[in-house]
Order: sequence, then C-alpha cells, then structure tokens
Amino acid sequence: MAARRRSLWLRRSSRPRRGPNSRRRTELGLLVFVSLVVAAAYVLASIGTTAKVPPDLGVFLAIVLGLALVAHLGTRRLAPDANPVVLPVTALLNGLGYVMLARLDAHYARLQAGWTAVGILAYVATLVFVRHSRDLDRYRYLLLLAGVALLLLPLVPHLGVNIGGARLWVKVGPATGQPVELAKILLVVFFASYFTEKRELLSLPTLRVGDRLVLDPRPALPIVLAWGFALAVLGAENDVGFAMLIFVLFVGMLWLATGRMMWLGFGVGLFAAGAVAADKLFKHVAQRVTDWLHPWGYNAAHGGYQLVQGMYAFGNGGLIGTGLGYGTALGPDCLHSKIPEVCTDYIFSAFGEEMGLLGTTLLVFAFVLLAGAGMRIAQTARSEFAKMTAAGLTIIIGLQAFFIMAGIIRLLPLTGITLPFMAYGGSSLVANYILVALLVRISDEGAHSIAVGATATRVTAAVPQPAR
Amino acid sequence: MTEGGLARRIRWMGVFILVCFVAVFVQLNNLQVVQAHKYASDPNNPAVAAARDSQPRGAITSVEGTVLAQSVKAPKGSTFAYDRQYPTGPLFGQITGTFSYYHGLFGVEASYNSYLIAHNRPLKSLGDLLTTSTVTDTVILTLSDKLQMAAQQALGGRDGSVVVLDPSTGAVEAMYSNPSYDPGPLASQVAKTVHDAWIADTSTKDAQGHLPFTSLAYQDTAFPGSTFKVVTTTATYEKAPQFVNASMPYYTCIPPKTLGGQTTPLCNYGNGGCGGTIAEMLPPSCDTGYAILGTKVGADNMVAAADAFGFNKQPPLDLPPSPFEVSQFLQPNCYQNAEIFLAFSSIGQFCTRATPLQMAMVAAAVANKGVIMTPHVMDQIRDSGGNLVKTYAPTTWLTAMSPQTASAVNGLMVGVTHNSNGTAAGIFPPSEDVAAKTGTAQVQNAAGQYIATNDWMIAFAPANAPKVAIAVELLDQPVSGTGAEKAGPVMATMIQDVLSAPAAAGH
Repeated sequence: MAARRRSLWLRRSSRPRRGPNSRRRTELGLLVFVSLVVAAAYVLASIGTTAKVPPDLGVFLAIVLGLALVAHLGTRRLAPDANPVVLPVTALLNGLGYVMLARLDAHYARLQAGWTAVGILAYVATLVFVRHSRDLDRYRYLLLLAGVALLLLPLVPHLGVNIGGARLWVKVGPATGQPVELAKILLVVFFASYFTEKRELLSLPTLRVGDRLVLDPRPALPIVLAWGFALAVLGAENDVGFAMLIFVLFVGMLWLATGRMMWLGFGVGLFAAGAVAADKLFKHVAQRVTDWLHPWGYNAAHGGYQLVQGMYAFGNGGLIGTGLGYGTALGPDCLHSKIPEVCTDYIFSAFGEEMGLLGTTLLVFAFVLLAGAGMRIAQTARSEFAKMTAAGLTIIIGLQAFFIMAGIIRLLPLTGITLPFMAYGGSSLVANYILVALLVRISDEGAHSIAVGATATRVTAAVPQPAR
Repeated sequence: MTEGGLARRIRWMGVFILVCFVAVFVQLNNLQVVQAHKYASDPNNPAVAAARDSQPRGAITSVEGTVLAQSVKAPKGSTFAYDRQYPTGPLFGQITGTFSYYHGLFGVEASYNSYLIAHNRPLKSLGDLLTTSTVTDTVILTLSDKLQMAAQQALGGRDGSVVVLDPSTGAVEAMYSNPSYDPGPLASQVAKTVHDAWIADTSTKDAQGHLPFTSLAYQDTAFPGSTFKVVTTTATYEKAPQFVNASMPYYTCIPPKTLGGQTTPLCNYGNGGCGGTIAEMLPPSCDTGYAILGTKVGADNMVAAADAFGFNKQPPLDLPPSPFEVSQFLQPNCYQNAEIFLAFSSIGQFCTRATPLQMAMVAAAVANKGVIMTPHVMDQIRDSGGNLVKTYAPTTWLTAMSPQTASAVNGLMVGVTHNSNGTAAGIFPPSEDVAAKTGTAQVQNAAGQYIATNDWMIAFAPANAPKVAIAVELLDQPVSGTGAEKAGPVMATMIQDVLSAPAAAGH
C-alpha cells in the first residue's frame, strides 16, 4: 500500500521532467501570442513610415518565432518548472523595442537583431552553465573580482571611450559595450551571498557597549568598502544612473537580509548626503537637477532641451498616440532625431508619441509583471541565497526601468541608463538576458523544491516511522 | 530573523517597486491626458512646426462666408507643400494677420492657430480610436466683408479707422483702418518677397507717420477729444450726482490761473461762449464747462469712471495682445497733480488717449444699458464637415454705469443729433434715431501751434433699441476740420449700411 502510493507520487513528480508540463505549454502559447503582437506592430510601423506592408514580414515573423522557440526549448530542456511569464514578457519588451528601432533607424535595428540572437544564446548558455544557484554562491569572491574588473575596464586607457560625457563604454575592435551592465549582475550575486552569510552578524546586536548590546558594524565593513568602491568607480566614469541604481540595490538588499530599519535609515541618510554632495561637487549633476526643475525657458535651449522634446513627444501622443510610424518629432534616424538619444535612453518617449498613453501603460504594466514575477520567484526560491539573488535581480530590472522612465517624464532628475530590453545596446540586452536566465534558473529550482518538498511530506506521512 | 521575515520583506520590496510604477503611470496620465494639449500645441514643439509647414491650414471666413484666408497646394518643387492665400488683401490684413514661414503668426492666424492648424481628429466613435487622421477647422469671424468694404470706401484712403460693434454681444462687425497691409506677400515662400513686404509693412511709415502693420483701430491710441465727454458725463451721474443739474459758469475762454496750474487760456472751439448744466452742455459740446465739471468731479472719480469703461486695461479682444492696445486716462507718466491736467483730460485731450475700439465700447456701453460685452472677432469654428466645433459665447467684460445713467446719457446723446444746437444736427435722417457724440482733438506741434485735428464721432442706433455702436476716427485732418464735418459722413454711411442690411448672418 505504502509502496504503491510512493511510486504514484514519484511518477507524478517526475512526469514534468519528460512531457510538456502545463507551465511550458502556457509559456509557448504566450510566446506565440507575443510574436503575433510584435509582428502586427511591425506591420503597422511599416505602413506608417512607407505606406506598405513590409515585404519581409514572413521572414520577420519566422525569425521572431524562431528566437522565441530557441529560448522556449532551452527553458523546457534546462529549467522545465520555471515561471512561464518571465520569458514572454521579456520577448514582448524586446520585440516592441526592436519594432520601434526598426522604425527609427534600419542600421541600428539590424545590429539590435544580431544582439537579440546573442542575448538568447546567452540566456540558454546561462541555463546550461548555471545548473544550480548554489554554484554562484560558491564563486562569490571570484564573481566580485570579475565585477570589479568589469567596472574598472572603461577606465583603462585605449580601451575605454567617452560617449556623451560618460566614460562607460569599452571599445574592442568595432564593438562597443557597457561592462557595467554585466557588473550589476555580479554585484547582486555577491551582495546576496555575503549578506546571507553575515545576516546574523548584521542583524543581531552582538557588540557590548557599556551594559548594552548594539549592532556590530565590523561585518558591514568589507561590503561598505565594496560598495564605496563601486560608487567611486562609477563617479569616476561619470555615470550617475548606475551609481544610483547600485546604491539603492545595496541598501535594499541589506534591508532584505537583516530587516533592520536602521540600515534603511542609514541608507536614506547616506543617499541624501550623497545627493547633496554630488549636487555641490559635480557640475553635471547640478546641471541635471537644474534641468529637472526648470527645463523650460533658457534651459530649454541647453540641458533642458532633451527633457522638453520628451514632453512634446508625450503631449503629441496623447491618449492613443499618433500611430506607429506617424510620430513627427522622431526624425530620419537615431542621430538626426529631434529627441536626442531617442534610440537608447529616450526610446520610451518614442513610444509615448507613437503609441500614446495606451502604449506607455502597456510597457509600464509589462515591467510590473516582470517585477512581480521576479519577486514571486524570490519568495518561492529554494535557499536564502537564491531568494536574495532573485530579489536583487528583480530590484535591478525594476528600478532600472523606473529610473529612466521617471527621468524622462520628470518624476526624478534624468539619469542616463537604458530601458531594459527596449533601448538599443548589445551589452544591455545580453546582460539582461543573462539576468532573466538566472531568475528562470532560481524559479525552476524553487518549483522543483516545492514539488519535492510536497512529495517528502506526503511520503513521510504515509510511511510508518521506524521505532526508536 | 526567520525565513518568513525574508519572504515578508520581499513582498514589501515588490510593493515598493509597484508604487514606483504607479507613480510613473500617474505622471504619464498627467503628461498625456491632462497637459497633452498644452505640449502638443506649443509652437516650439517640432511636431507643431512640421504640421504647420507641411499641411494645409483651415480657412478664415467673414460672417457671410467669404474666404479671407485659405491654403492651396503649392506648385511642384516648392519648399513647403502649401501656400497661404488672402483673397481680400489689405481689407482684412490687420484682422486675419498673416501666416509667415519666416516671421511667425499674427492676428487670427495666431490667436486661433490651434484650430486652424492640422490637429488630431477629436475622438467621436470607436473607429476614431483605430484610425488617426488630422483635420483642420474653419474659423468664421463676426466681421462682415460688406461692412468692412463700406468702411474702407468711406475712409477713402485717409488715415483713420472704423469700428462697428454689436453692443449686446460684443461682436466686432467691422474693424478697418488705413493704412493697412496685404498679408499675402508675407506668407510667401520666396524669401525676397517676404523680406520686402516685411520692410514695407513694419518699418516704412506713411506720410502721416503710421505703419501699415499696426492697426489704428485697436493697436494705437490718439486723443479722443470731445467724444470722451460721454465718460465725463457718466462719471458725474455715477460718482458725483450733485453736479448733474449744477450750472457751470459761462465762458468763451477760461482765463489763465482760473484753474490750478493753468498758464494759458482754455477756449471753446471757434471761441463760442457756453456753460450751464450737463443737459445744456453736451449737445453743443461745451469745452470750458466740461473742463470745469471734470475738476469738480475730481481725479479719483474720473479715473474710476474711465476704468469702468475699460481705460487703463488690456482689452480682452481675441487677437494677440499688445501693450499698445491699452487706452489711457490720467496715467502717472502724464498726469501731474494740477487741476489743468484734469480739466484738459476731461475733454479728451492731454492725458487721455484711446483706441477707436475703446471709443466704440464707450458708445456700446451707453447703448447696452451700461454693460460692456467682451469684444470678439470669432463667431464660430466649424470642422471640415461643417459641424460646429465652438461658438463664441458672449460674456460681460465691464459694467460702466447703471441702467438709469445709461438711459439719461442715451437721451443726451440723442440731443447731439436732434437738437438744433447739437454738433451732429442734420447729419442723420431722423428716422434712424441716432445717438452720437462728436470729437475734435487738436494736435499741436512741438512749438505749441495747432497743426491738425483728429476728427471723431461715436454713435449708436436706433437709440431706443440699439443694434449697433460705431466709432469713426480720422487722423491728421486740417485744423479747420471737425468731428461732425469729417467723421460725420463716414458715420452716416456706416449707420445706413448697418440698419439697411438684413440681420447679419449667424446672429
């Protein structure tokens, strides 16, 4: 009797490993749906710009479906129990971003298509190489070292290049990339690993001062050093956006690990002090703040120009948008648009103009879905380290999207970071696919552990305990 | 800390990120719905410039439907796809303004640009959600091209203006002044044509020193002369009624030093003698009596009464505002605290300067029981399908006087045309029942010699049920000229044209 039940449960829990389980079926359905939506947008944008149905529509749809299928089969083979929403939402963002790029600039679109393929290969490769999240935990300091190296790379003479005042790029041959995009993932993993190990020390008062026990600040020292180093490097590279992102990530993960409001207060205080200091010390930061508060008038001709052009684009779009391909402020290509950086940092404003509030709301909703799925994955993750990693990765993707959107629409001072999956940029795209792959890996583990856990409980209940 | 604690904090972190995105959503609504129109119609918006330069604009028509401005396809090879045409030329130039690729927008082209310009079709059906198309609207003016042409002909090339108002709505039915300009060349795509026209219109003065681009009817002020006595009369009724029936001393000239600060005699026109009560003084336009009456009413009361007519204020006309449209009475840069300033200003000289539009509103106030309606040139806006988009809803601008005062002043102004000693006696057929006031402002040169007169008349008719209020101004007329002699015939023609015309379309 007991043995029969046992075999029944075993069979049930092992079935998803072979056949297509329902999560993967959902994912496949969603991916096909997303591919059709993206293809429809591609047709509309083509009609808008050339008044013709794109002649390569079949090829386009085949490539989109093909890429989606590669990612899907990779997930099915390597992480069969993973969350089914993450990949389709990613595909939607990437696909719509590509359609907008194709409408803005054919050259950049071709490059982006290539990078998308690389990104999906990186996604599968990550699932192949990272079979267990604990593997990452093991190489904690190696990853930290790699992260530090990546952060420093743009500062190396002859290798790093200045673009738009920020020394963020590395140029190897014809290819340029932003190493910080990859470094952000390594930093998340390191923070997660370190905080998990030192959690007790960071959260329980162990230091005796007089007759009172207080929090011992010493275990926080290395991490504060690591974080301070990261900020200093980003400061040297003139990258306010990523410095802010890494800072919030650090404080957020410290609070997640310890639950001490003290760390949160400490972080907010430090952030305020840092913001004031940066405003005073760095001219470009002060300029950003001035532009943010007063984009019109004199400033409109200078730093406020980009912000004001963005406002116009959102105003032109209104509720329903001008229609894909009908935006008048967008110009003939990326470099000659009325909106500076419309293909990278400012791509959100192009959606604002051509797809209106309906379109921008769709994008916001997609990021909310992605962040929601990420946090759900974090909650159901197998280990504390995996939980922390998933939460950290979700903070990165959510807040990176938030910072650039909020900057464009004047909720916050503008920080030049890319909108994940949508903006043009190979390193950003590949890094974010790796990030999603890690989320998928953790999700699969979590689902598996729940299944195994459930089996274990049932089995224990069914099998008579041996007498002690 | 337990595992449950971490899960709870992860949930809170998720909530935090959600709140961030909700903030984004709220701000997006603010930008794309609440403030969208403001951004989308900002002239600096590149989409606005592109739409302006690459798409046809809506037409501007007179109240009868005559096209005053329209866009037509430009010949092949032109820089911009459309040419803007003004078939009526200088007749409506100062009203329609011009649409210049080089100098921007003026007149109705500027103030109603957001309707004339190609803009997104307003959502009316579900189908409109799926197809975005642009539309332009037609702006229909309150001005009648028949009356406008009558005014042009009556002025006969002389520098001056005619403003015709509907006193009950504030609708401007005609507003023409010489010199005027043709908006067509300024809207040309040929830089040389635009350049030459711009020089000719904005910086080449005519013989009397006036620029074609500046409308004498509403963008420039002059001494209104005795037409201002209507304001002084109203001030007496409203602010100092004890002087309504008080008798002013009989003078030919007020000798020097009679009034504070007076160094030269203040004489009646043609050195006639007069005095008495308001009722005795208004029809023959007694300067000495009104000068003394003004000083008795007092500066504060006079300013309050003039302000109630719209002096010292930007008139709320629906054309692009400029500071030169403000009529002035006792402005500090002119008025010094001496009786003689107030005496001269009370008879429409010295520190009193008014636009013809302002003086037409003075007549309209008396005609409309003391209430001045907001003056406007837009009657209706219709879309390309002829559907009504917007109608101008008349609003009250100011209340200049009580209905009782209006009725009394109305009677006095009828006396100007009916009484045998009225300055406008014999100009109008009695059947028209015209109430009027003439004005002859003397223009001095730097040496103090009288070199010319500004001849005015304001009127409304019929006095018992006014349909129209008109101001006529002729500038730089011979010294011998008077309001009655020069402006009178113009006024007579205008009143006859208005009263004989069938009720104007659209009212």
